[in-house]
Amino acid sequence: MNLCKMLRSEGGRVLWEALTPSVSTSLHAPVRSFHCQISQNFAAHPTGFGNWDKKITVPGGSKPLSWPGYNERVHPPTGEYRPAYICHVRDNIKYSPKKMWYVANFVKGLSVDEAIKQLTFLHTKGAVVAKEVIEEAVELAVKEHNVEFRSNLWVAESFATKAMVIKGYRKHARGRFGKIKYKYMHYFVRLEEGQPPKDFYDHQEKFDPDRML
Amino acid sequence: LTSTRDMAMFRAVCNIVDNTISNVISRWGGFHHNLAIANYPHIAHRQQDDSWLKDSIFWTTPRNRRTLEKRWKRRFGAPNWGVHFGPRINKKIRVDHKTGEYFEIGKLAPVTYKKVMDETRKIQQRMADSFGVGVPKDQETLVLYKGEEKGGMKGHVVEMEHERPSFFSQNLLQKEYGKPGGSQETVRPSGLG
Repeated sequence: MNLCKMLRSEGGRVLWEALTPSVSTSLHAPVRSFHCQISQNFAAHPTGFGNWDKKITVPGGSKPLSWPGYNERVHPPTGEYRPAYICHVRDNIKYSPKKMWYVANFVKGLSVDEAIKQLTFLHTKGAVVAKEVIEEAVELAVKEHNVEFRSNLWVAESFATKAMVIKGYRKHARGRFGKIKYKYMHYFVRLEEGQPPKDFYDHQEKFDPDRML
Repeated sequence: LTSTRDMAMFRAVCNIVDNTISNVISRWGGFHHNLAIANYPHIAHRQQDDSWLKDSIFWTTPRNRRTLEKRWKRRFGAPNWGVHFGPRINKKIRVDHKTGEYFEIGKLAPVTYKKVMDETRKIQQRMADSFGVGVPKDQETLVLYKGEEKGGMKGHVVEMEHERPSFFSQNLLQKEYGKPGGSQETVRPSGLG
C-alpha cells in the first residue's frame, strides 16, 4: 500500500482530513496537539512532507531523531489559541530507561521551576539528567522559540525510550558466564507555555459525585 | 439403556485408549515398566478407572492469568488506590531570599552558610593537628583567636591564626545550664557588645 500516493490524491486529502482529529487546544491537553495540513508542494526529501518532518541530530548528540523536528512545524493561523511548545531531547544517556521512567513521571505536569527545584533534591542520576535537559529546553524556548517568560512553562510530556544496548559478559563460578546488558536511553521532554493544569494525573482530580453519575 | 454388546465395545475402546495413553506417557515420562506395574497394579485387574487421569496429567497448570491492569499496578503503582512507587514531591524545600538558593528544612544551605562551614573546617583541622595522633581527645577544648586570652579556663587550647569572625560570638561557647551542683537558674549572656 503506497500511503504517500494515496494521500497525495485529492480523495486521499479528504480522507486524511477526515481521519485526523481536530485539535482542542486547551491547556489541559497532555497529548501532542498537532494539526498539520498536507500541502500540495512537497519537500525534496522523499520520506516526509516538509523540513519539519526530517530527523534532526541534536547538538551534542549522535542519533538523528524526529522529536526536535516538531519545533520546526509551522501551524496555520486559524485564530484559535495554541500555546507555544518546545520539544527537546538528549540521546544515548548511559542509564536504564526503566529507572528513568520513575523520574520522567515524577516531573510530568509540574511547572518548570517546580520541576527543577524538586529534581535538585532527588538524588538519582536520572534526576541530574532530567534537570539538565529541562534547563536546556528552557534556554532554547527563550532564545529561539519566542517564549516571553522563562517561568511560564510547564512540562507537558516527559518520557524515556530505549537506546542502544551493549552486551557484555561476566564470569560466574564453575566456568559459567552470564550476559550483561549495558543499557542506554534517550530522554524526551516537551515544555508548553502557560500554567500547569492542576489535575494532570487522574488521582489529583477531586472526587466529583455528579460527574461519576 | 445400552446393550451388553455396546458396553463391551465401549469398554474395549476405553482399554485401547487407556493402554495407548499409558504407553505414550511411559515413553515421555520415562516410567520404568516395573514402576508402571507397581503404580498401576489395577490395570492388570482391568478395572474401569481413570488412573492415568489422576497421576499422569498435570492438573495444576496455571489457568488464570493476571490481567494487564493487575500487572501494571504491581509494577507501576496505582495512585488512585493509594499504591505509589517512585519519588514523592518534597515539601520541605524552601528558598533563601537573599541568595535565591533552594534548601531543605533542617539542613544548612551551602551557599548561605558557606563562610560558617569554612570556618568550622578550619577549626576542626586545627584541633586535629593540635591534639596529635594517638592522643585521646578527652579534654575540654577552648578555641582562641588572635588577641584573646585564656582566662581561668582549664583544658586544651586551640589557637587560631586569624581574628575572631563577626558571626562567631563568644556567647555561643557558654553552657546552657547552670553550674553543676547549683540551682538551675538562667544563665545571663556575657561578653556581648
